[in-house]
Amino acid sequence: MTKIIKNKKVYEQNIQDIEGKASAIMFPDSVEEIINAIRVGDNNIVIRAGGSSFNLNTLPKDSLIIDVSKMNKISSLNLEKKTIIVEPGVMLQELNDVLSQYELEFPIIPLFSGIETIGGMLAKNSSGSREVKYNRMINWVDWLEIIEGNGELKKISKSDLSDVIGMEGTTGIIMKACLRLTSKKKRSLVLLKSEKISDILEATKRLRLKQDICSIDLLSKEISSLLGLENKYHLFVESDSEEGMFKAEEYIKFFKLKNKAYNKIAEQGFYLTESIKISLDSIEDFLIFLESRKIPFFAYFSSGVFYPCFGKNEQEKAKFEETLALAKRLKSKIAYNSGIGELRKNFLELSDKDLFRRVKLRYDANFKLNKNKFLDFKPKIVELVKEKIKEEVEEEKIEKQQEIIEQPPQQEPDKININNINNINNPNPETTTLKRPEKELTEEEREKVKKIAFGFFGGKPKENKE
Amino acid sequence: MQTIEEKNIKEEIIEILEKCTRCGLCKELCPVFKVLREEQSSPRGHSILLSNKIYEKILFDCTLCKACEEKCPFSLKICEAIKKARFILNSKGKENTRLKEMLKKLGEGTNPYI
Repeated sequence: MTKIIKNKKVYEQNIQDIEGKASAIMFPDSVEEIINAIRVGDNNIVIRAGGSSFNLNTLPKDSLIIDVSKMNKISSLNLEKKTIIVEPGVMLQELNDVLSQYELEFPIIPLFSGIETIGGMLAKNSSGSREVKYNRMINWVDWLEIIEGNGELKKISKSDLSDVIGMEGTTGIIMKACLRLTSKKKRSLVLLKSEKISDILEATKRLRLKQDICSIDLLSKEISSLLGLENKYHLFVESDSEEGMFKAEEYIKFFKLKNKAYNKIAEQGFYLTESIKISLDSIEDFLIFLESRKIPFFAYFSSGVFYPCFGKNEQEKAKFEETLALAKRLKSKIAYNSGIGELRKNFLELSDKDLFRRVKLRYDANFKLNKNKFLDFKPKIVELVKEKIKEEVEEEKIEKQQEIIEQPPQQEPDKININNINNINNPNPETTTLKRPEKELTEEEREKVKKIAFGFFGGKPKENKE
Repeated sequence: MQTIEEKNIKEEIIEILEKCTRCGLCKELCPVFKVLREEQSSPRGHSILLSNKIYEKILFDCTLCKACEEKCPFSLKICEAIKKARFILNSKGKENTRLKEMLKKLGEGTNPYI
């Protein structure tokens, strides 16, 4: 039974001090309840789980908020395949607590790993400090089950995952995800420090080549001081082995220290941040800029993702805008891990916008889900995109018809004795679709077939032992 | 009609929670949120309600364990604010009736859990 609560204020206020308006909030217990909510009425729906986004991804505008936090079942752990099925409200920490009993882990650790849910991480296609080795969420998903904008429950296979993962809930509500897992590693850490940017860059360049390095995090001088370290740049170099200087308990101590970076700088009033992925050849310029403006930051340095931190006053807001403008000029990816939401729509590339609009129209043509988050869908633009899609579909039809006309007459394929191929390479002849030959092949023909089969599948024909 | 004491307490609550940025980091260790999974039962939710002078019985859900204060970047005394808010609720007759029954039974020397 869905619970509907009255304290809407808790869903309307957020870190950006921009107040939204919720028409209602529901905590669904089942897929059917969500489908009914989508199909009934003209609801504009906002999907929410942890609510940890900085860019107002869950800001309601007279919206029905569907809070999936209670959909938090973990099931079907397959130890052999190392997969697990989870609902969107499962928190990352809960998942890893369960997996640690089996010496397994889910290796993506985003910034607010303590409160992030799997649903939110999938919506943003999160990565973390270990991106250089473990990549992003989409690489760890086998399939999803979603509810589309028309209320249809659909399974999304690997080839279509990018239609949902990273689309910030605009193309479907994730109901289940099959996640891939990895063995739990015994990790270690090395700490490097320097006053000079050039030293940091040089060290990172060499370290990135090492295979067992899973993350290289950089703390600015200000944040290093706040954490009780020297007033220098600090590199936390984490390995998927115990070769680093700090192992076991000392590793945990420094790992936790590094993860306090945001808390410490936020305590000083610099709590507004943004994730910006800088390309490798622009990192030095970006670092020089941050140093010159005295902007505290921490970075997932190995993958070039920076988190500059800002206060709330006018001077800090100006610095924030300046930083984003520079990042755009350097062709960086803004809101790389935080999601575009409401606040960063103007940083999407035009070509990406076009692609995302098409995907959106395929899954949610009625614009019920997370309306105007991530992308604007003004009626004129929607009509233009729909027209364009229609034209392309027509062009494709015409091209296909022309191909059929222009194709040369098909030659009859050589008759191959499927039995011989089956015996060599396919233990299940019933699974093939070719017909049996009408007469037996001669010895010469059999040899010819063997050579062709091995030519396709590799290996050498066995020599006759006679 | 609001007494002077109530007015002062409400101002103290606003002062305690003035710096709350709604970041949500307080939810990480909250035992109540982990079970109930509702924003209104989380420390952030309580902070938003109190900052908006909304006094609801849901404030009695908190166990006052202070795990949220550990995680809060500003170390805000959220539990202190909730205790003060409960005083306001009690004075308005919106107390937690279950707790009231337990206290009565303790006074009578009978089993407070039945």
